[in-house]
Amino acid sequence: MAEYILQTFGLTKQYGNYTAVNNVNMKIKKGDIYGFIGRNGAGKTTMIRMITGLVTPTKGEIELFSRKGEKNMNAGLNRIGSIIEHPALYPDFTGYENMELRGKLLGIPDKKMIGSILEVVGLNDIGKKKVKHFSLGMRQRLGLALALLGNPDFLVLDEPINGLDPEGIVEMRKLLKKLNEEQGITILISSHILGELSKMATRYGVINNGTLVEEFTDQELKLKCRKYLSLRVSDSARASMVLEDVFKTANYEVMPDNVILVYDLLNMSGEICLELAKNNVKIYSIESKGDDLEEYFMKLMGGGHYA
Amino acid sequence: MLNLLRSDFYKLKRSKTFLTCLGILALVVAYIIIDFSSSAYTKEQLSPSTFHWIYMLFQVPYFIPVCQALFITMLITNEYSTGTIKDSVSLGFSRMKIYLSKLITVSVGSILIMIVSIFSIGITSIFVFGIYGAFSMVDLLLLVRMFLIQALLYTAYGSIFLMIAFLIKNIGGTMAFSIFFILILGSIIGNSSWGRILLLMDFSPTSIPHPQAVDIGITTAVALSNLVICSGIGGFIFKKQDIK
Repeated sequence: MAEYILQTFGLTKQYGNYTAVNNVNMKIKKGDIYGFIGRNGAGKTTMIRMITGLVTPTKGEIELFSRKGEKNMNAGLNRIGSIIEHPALYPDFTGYENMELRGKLLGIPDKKMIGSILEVVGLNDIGKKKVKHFSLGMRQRLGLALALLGNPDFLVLDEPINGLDPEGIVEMRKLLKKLNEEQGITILISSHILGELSKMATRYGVINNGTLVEEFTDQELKLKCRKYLSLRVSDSARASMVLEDVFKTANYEVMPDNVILVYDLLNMSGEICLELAKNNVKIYSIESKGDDLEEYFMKLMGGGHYA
Repeated sequence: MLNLLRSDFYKLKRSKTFLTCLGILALVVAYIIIDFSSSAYTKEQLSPSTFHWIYMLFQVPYFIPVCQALFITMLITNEYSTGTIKDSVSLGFSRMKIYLSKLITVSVGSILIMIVSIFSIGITSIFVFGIYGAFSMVDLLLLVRMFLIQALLYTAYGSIFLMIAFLIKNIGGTMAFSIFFILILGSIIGNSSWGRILLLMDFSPTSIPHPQAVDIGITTAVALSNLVICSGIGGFIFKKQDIK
């Protein structure tokens, strides 16, 4: 049975008459990199705030590390590292002092750990520079370093690649994947950049107007977003034989009305037409179809702007 | 709890506003003493007795609540504006413990402000007026009693400013409300005896140069009530607050 790091049951947050999050049942398994997607104002940050104890849910329950209830929740929060909206930093302190302060809060006397984590995020040479003089990318990296202090089992990152340059984004992705693969840290990450998210997430949750529309794995997403050739033919049985005998593929589906969806041979539409014609199969239409990742997410989020 | 206190004291130690308040206060009270010495009448009034000297230690820094309001406002509202208030909450510390840790920190900060002003007045007045008379055990007891009452007064004030800061959360609003509390409210209800007591004004040795035991009892009870009620309200506000 899968071990869940986080489960929510009917989680709801209302502000007066406005429902920011509505009856969300989210499940994050141990070892997941969970990509959390939604438009601005869809309820991502409110959801993350409830998970991290900053906002009290109006209804519903949160189970963290297989434990429910306020006391257990507080104990669970101790195992979470988070960046919510933007890294919470003291601008008049240096990066090291910010780390030192977090270390005091966590009761970590080991100052070597601070140095090693700053090295991991590439901030080992910041010297005495105060955080107010940091670039946005440096702040994000320091935020991640703070989240990593105390060896958390679960990282909750709200828009962590905001403000990073392309090189920074790649570094952040590599770092998060490394933390997930080598240290087994489960990660919940929300991001505007869907393409980037799809390079690291192993599971996804899509939220729209406060409702969790769908949850799926990256394999399921690949299936949903794969390209295919859609053929409408006179005889689907014979066309299937041609595909198997001539093109040696079984990667197709026969649909009603003599429609065949071919999931490979995407660049061989000409050859397919020729062979089908040779075998007396008439072709009424042939189209290349399939959503790309962004189109698919936009559909889930009700079209228009996303994230 | 210990970790929270360590973290809060670390911030207090590095708070520019707090250190600036200490410095300015030390300089201003020293200036006031030097200015006194230029007035022959005041010199005559203040110089003769140890009793007056002790009262002067607590009389002169009448503007300590302004310094308190300033450093407490900056300490707490900065946490909201930078988002660092999220740190301790999202790490699972109980909100009541977080609030209590802040209350202890601002109380210690307030007492430190008082101590700095006492030292500054003490040292300056020794230079200006010299040491007058003997410093007996009775004087020492008076000094300790005054110190404890004033410490309680400033802790109670601190709890009010802390509650206001947690309630309003932004610098402008909190400072405006605190100044209203210190200056304007005092001038409105400070003329009645109950108003003075409720505003903690009767703790001041300026108000009662020779307080009786019953006065001290009433004012101590009011200060403690203020401390408990304001801390309770502040803690409750913070516990129910959604942090953005």
